[in-house]
Amino acid sequence: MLSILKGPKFEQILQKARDNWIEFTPTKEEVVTAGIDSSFNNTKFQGIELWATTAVSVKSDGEILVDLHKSGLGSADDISSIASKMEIEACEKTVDSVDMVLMDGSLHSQLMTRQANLGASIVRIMKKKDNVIFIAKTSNTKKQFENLGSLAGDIFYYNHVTNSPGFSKIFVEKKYGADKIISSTFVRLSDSTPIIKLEFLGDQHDENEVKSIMNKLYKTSVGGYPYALKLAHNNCKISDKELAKMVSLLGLSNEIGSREVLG
Amino acid sequence: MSLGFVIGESKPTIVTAITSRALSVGEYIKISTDEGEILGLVERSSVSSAAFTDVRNFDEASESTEIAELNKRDKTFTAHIGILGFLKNLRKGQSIIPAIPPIPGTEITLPSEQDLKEIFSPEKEGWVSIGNLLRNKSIDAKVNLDKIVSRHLGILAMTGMGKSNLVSLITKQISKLKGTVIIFDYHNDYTSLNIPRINVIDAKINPRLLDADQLSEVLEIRDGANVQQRVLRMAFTKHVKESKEFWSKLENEVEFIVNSEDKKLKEIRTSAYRVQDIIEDAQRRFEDILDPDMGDPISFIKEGRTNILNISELSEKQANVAVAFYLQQLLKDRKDASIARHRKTKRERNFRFNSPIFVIIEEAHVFIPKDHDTSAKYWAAKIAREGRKFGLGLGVVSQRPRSVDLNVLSQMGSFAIMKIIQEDDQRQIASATESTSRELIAQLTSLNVGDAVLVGQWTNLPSLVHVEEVKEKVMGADQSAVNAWAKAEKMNEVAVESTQGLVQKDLLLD
Repeated sequence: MLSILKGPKFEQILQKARDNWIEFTPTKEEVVTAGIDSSFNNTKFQGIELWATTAVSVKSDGEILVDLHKSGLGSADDISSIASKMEIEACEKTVDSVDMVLMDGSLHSQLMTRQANLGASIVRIMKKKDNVIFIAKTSNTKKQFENLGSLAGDIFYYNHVTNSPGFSKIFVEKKYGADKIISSTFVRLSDSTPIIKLEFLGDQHDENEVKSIMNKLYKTSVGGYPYALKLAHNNCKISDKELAKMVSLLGLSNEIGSREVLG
Repeated sequence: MSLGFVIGESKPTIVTAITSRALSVGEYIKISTDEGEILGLVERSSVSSAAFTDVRNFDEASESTEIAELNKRDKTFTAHIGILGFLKNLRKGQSIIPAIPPIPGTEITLPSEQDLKEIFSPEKEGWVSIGNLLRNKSIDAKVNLDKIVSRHLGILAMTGMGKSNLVSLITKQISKLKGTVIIFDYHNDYTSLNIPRINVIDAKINPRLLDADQLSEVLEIRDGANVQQRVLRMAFTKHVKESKEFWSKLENEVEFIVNSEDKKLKEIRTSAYRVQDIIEDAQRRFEDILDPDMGDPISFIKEGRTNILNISELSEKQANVAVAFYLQQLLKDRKDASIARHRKTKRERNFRFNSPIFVIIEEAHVFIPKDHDTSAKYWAAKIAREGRKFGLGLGVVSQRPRSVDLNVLSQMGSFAIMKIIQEDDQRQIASATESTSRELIAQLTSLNVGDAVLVGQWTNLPSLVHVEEVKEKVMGADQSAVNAWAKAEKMNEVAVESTQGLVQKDLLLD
């Protein structure tokens, strides 16, 4: 098991990661960014489910640009897809009004796994102004070092060999088709902060663009993570408490048969 | 102008509000409800910042600072507001708490200056100013002197926070009204109080007026020395008390025990020798304090004046005896006076004080201790219980509320509480002042010198005030050791020069 952390193979991967890493200390650059995030929650209620989804687009200065909500009673099988759709809707309504749109999560996952049916609309919106970036705090992808027999995700090795600000060489993935090329890079905005993964659409992105984006992100980041995304996350949480409120608002809490009477 | 809105769960006595700015603890606010306008007091205030919630290190804090400036929604100002009652009723001095709590979403605003003036600065007889509201400096903070004389007053604070200043201020105000105040001055703080109608008395003890136990305390016979106390009891006869030559008669009585051939008395001879020594020693040591030839000590107290009873020369036990004696006599006199007036008796008026008296006991933890009984405590407790009926008000001043007897403390109808850090002290205050909320007590640590929380009957409402400084008070401030040392050094130099000058060189031996 320790071969993940020791041995010649491991050293080889680390060396590769070192070779890939480009040291760069960003300088703050003025830009208007918006972060987008969505969330969903559901609660079982007398054999049916009450679900709620929300998506929000918020600027770093706290101004909320888009605030979408949906809720309903019924099967909650597809609420993650509803939330994703709303996220894309929020993105569409935001791209024209800010310089840079930051989407929470992974483009790779959006396009290929989670919501493949939404791929076309994502591509359309991202291409509109070419100002949408996906940012992931955690990444499980094992693409860059798989030919060297890597066991851990790519981000693990970069975290191991670096501590200073910088970014990894851009990795381009073309296997999903010509219109769904994903360029990605692992980035550290400031000393000793966690690495984040940036994903762009298309293959026309170069290192200078990454540097410029880092400068823009650095202006409004806390602990190496864009504040707009943190705000978006905080603003779109749907807690169980809020669902309970909805139950009450809908006048369902006193329905006959409620299990609470057994308590 | 809207200051904020009531949020969360609202109760008739307390609400939480989200506000547009940070409110200060002690600030008054107004809530307009369907039932009428309500006045509230900010008891706890907090500010949180979304940008700083998960900050883990300096760099993140620094980055968050910039972010927080950009985001106008970043700060959340929360105020916990204690409801004091309907404004309409408070103007008349009645605190009526609403039956229905303010509905969340209700707007809160600032009360007008006129609103506050009508409540905190009533233009009524008996109300005097002692400073201004801490958060509304233009509003005079007035207190009702009638209430402190009829229902007593506790002044509690750490040392150096303004207790004696407040005592001086109250005294000054009563003096203006030609009232009678008696201060038991344990640290000689008030003898130099420069106000008109002041009467400074060096408290002395007339041993004739004491009982044997009290005399034993005054002579400083040890607590456990039971046989010595017995000897004194035997010797301190009625004959001795009435004798012209008090001390020699007392010594004679002890001498009699020493020389007695009675078998029983022989057993206590050694103790009698010791008592002889003690009496002899006491006459020398306490020459200025124990005076069998002095008149009635109460006669030195003058009605309509500020009487400073200087007990600083007395030992703790002696002071205790003296305080107990005065308290007992004052209560008796006021009782007699009140009964006489009530019954419109035609008997000869043999009482001294015709009008109410306010007695202030400094260092109350010494005289009214929590953990043991003293005679001063007995009489103070009696005054605390009965003084109201006879126009004898008690002021209890202490820097260690936790050590003051709770029975006496809880009889105080009004309180001025200044900075208190010790949690034990805060707990004792909470027990003694039921009306004071925990939130308000928690603020006691943050008060500055001269700031006080006033609660109880002497104010219309609990209030945070800044007490005016009494210019006439010369003593009691912190002493500057640095200045004193510098002066002492100068004096030394003078002394060296002058003594050198006096010595004739030719007289010095080689």
